[in-house]
Amino acid sequence: MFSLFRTLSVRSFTRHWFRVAAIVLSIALGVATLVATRALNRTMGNAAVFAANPTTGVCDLVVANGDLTVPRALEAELRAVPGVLSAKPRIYENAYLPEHGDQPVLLMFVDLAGELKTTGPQQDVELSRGTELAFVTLGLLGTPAVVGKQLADSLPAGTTALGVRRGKASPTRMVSIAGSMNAKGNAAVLAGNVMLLDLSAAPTILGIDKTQVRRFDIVVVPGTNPAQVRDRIQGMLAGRAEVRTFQEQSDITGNVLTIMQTGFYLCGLAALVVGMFLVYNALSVTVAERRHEIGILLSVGATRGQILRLFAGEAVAMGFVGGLVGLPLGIGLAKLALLPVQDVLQNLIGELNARTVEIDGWLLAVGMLAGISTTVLASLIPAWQASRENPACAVRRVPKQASAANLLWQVAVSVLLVLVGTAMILGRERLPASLGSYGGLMLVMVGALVASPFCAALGAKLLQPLLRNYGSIEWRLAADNIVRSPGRTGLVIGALAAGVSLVVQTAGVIRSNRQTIRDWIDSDIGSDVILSAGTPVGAGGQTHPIPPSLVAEINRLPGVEITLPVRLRKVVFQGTPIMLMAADADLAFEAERKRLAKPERAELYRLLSETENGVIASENLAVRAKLQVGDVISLPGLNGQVDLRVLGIQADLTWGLGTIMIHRRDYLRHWQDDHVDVLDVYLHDPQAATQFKEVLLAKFGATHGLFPMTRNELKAYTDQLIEQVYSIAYAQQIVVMLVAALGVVTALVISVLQRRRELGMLRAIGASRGQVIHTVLAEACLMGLLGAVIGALVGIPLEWYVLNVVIREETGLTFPLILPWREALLVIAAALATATLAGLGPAWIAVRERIPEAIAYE
Amino acid sequence: MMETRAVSKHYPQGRRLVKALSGVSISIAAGEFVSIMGPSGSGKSTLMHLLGALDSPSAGEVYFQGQPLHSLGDRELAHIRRTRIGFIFQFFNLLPTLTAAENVALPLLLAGQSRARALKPAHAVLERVGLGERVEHFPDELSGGEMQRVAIARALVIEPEAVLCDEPTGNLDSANSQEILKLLRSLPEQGKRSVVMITHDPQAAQVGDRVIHLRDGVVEREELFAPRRQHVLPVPHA
Repeated sequence: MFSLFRTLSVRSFTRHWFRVAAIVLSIALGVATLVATRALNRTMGNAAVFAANPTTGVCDLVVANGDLTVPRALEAELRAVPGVLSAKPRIYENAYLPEHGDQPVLLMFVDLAGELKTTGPQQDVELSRGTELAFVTLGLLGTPAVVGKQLADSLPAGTTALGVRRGKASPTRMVSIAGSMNAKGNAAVLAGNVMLLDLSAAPTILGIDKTQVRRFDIVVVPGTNPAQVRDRIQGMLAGRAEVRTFQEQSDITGNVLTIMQTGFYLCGLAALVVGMFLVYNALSVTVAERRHEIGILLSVGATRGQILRLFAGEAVAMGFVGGLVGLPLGIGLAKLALLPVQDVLQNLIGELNARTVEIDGWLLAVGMLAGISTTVLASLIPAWQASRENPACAVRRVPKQASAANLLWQVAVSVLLVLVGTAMILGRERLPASLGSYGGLMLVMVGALVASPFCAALGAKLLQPLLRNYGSIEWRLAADNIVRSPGRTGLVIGALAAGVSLVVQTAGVIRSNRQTIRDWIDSDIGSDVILSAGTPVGAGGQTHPIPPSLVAEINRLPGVEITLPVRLRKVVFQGTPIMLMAADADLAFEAERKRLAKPERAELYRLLSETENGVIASENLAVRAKLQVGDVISLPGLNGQVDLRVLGIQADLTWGLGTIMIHRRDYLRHWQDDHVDVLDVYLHDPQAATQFKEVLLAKFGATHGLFPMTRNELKAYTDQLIEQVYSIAYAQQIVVMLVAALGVVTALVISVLQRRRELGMLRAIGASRGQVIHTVLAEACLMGLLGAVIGALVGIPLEWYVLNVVIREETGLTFPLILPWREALLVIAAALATATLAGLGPAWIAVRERIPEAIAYE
Repeated sequence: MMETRAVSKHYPQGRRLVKALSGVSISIAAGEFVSIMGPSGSGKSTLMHLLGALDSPSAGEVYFQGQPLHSLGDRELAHIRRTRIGFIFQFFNLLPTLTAAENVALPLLLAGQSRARALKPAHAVLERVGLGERVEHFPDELSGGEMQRVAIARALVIEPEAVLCDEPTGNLDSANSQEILKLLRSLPEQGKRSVVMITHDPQAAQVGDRVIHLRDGVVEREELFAPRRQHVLPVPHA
């Protein structure tokens, strides 16, 4: 078989190198997108989990309270729980080194004096010589720290400045490096960009009360079931904090990324599926072209199995090369996209520190396997068709009649896929998470792609009368050519349509998100200036706390009516991190009642101020958690479970997974946390907002790192955030479009080769080279037009689906369907231009041949 | 009217150089019907391609109505083919998606004429070749003989000064071949135009006024027949 392959296939590859190159490149782009997407998803997912759980694998259970603190006094109680080997108080915080290019560093506050000598995970840790002594000595003078070996290698000995994201007013602190540590096994993280400090330094550096810590890392007695110990601890805590296994803790963090990761993953998959259909298309035509050769092979004794294996083998070879090209391309893409993607995610979920793309053998194997299996899958039908050829007809070149059975099969498969996909969507609540909504959508899209030859032929048929009467002969011939070979052009048009529909859908979602947020800011946020520290206000929780004393100072500034301090903390509710927003309800009522267009909203604030332990839930939380007014929700407080009654439900887009607004009075009582993250400033004259912002910056900007924003600036900032988030999706969709453009090139090259004699005849009867180029480009342009129009039409229901099914179910947020006319027109123009440009190469092939050769018979 | 002077045509085929024509000099007068005969590989198709401005010589000169084809650019050659020369092929070469009338109108459409304007003469020529009832039929609805008549009509629609035919009866049965030959024979009389026909068939060749025999890329001999105006049959429905 190998000899046959070597003799026939390799020769065929050489003869049709351009087509082979296009197939290989299609697969390579699909594999690259898939690998890049998976690598980035994994890297970002791990970075997010690491940010929340830096000591992954070191402990069995985590006791924490979301972003809030837990009393250190719990340590003794936790140790007393049967099955607990150790319970170590921890504070983890991201920081940076201003003297070293703002290099990120993870601060780990632990009970250094005690822990460095104890048994447990630290057995894998090795301190540099003299560290312990230096630690004690330096501790007398300032703040000593032990740094990971990786960090130590890049830092000079002595003292270094430390910038803390959530620190007190002063942005930097000096720490003295006492030594370094090397670590292996589960503790290997300690050898990285880590700075180990004693818990006693946390109040100074982070402003956390000395009686509080962020979490306890629990190690259970070897041989004990962690789940059983968890249940015991849960009982002991009685609502004062949450205890979770490490996996559960990671899942909570992962939840935040899920929707984005799924979106990216689907886009990557879409590129591969589109590539698969284009490969199928190219292979089908190859089989048709080599029909004579197949007939000869069969007539000289080749078995049908050999023919089948020959074509499948060619597909494996092309898939293998496509995979080989796609893997480095994907790794390169992932590396290129790492920082931009990280920036986007940081704006959404908080500090991340992914420095390198995580790629392992498994990911590469998956990429390679995806490339090969996609090509083999695409080759199955063409290879089977080749093996079914009638040798006599093939040798005599008897034209193959279009089989009605084939047509029926295609229709049946298309209808079946659409029906199964629709059934999965409708029954998604009974299916595993995301399978119904995403898997169903994928099936519907693939079904539509299978049906695309009919749609393309139909579209071209509709255009025919128009072109017949008003178009030049070049356009007429181009339209005729599309109608007579829907199999060749249809899938390419379908692929283009897929790319265009994804772009239109994304543009629509962006517009809808943007408009909704703008409307929300206009109608539901009454403050004139929104003030944060460290970074602009966002939901990522990266802002620095604002000293409460600043409230009084701002209130004293001329023109200020009310300054409303707001605390934004994430708490875990029903396994998902939601935002707890603490604000003084009396002040909010006072400020907003004169400003808000919706008086009922201000009334809710009044109700909140009058009702103890009441909360206002955001609409999206109410949708996700099926909350109603009057329901009681339970959150872990410092002294046990806190029951809070839902007083009302309001539109609130602060956090994608839901927000609970609580009166600051109740928040202080249950969580004893008087930090402020955001100040809402209400002015007597809203027109003076810009001027007031300048005053704020001049007076407090430098000392507090303030980021004041007027309402208009807030709108512009959220617009920018939305654009950033979806820019990643756009990048992937461009790859889909590129794959489709490659399909256009392949389809047109095939068309030109098939129409070789026809184009030669046209030139013989007087068509100029320009006219032949014109007709080839016209065909490309028509393919682009049909793909773009079909894609734009499909993009609108797709947008509706993403808004009303995907986003609503994942976040509970409701966005209206807004048609992105401008973007749709732009993408149609881009698709037309791409397809037409893709036709240039084939057009050149069409005219470079001598007329006598083109019109000659064998 | 058409003339070649010491024309040679060499072209690469794989690794070898094919010498299709070597120093061929012929002349075809206006209104003359010339048949070109010869075995396969003798260079007759190449000679016709050079006469019809489809190809350029490797050496020598080719003239059409005194114009040096060998020194014209692609655009001018395309213009000559579109306006002054009609081609008829063995396998008809009709576009399957166009009706008979549209196929005939194709050169006019390529010349930029409007559809309505191009279809008028197309209908008239189809009427002349006996296909007045088949103007809206597609090629796959026509017989071999009818398809070749459509091809002839396409060649005639531009009222060419020369009609070049490459084995026009090679793909037809004897009855249809006779009909087509009669039609071709009538062409020189109707407009003083020349006809050049390549054929393998000695009987078909004798329809012409003169037969040029080619072998191995050179003119082997020429046969001259007496004028035979009296043999010309009227074109059906003409």
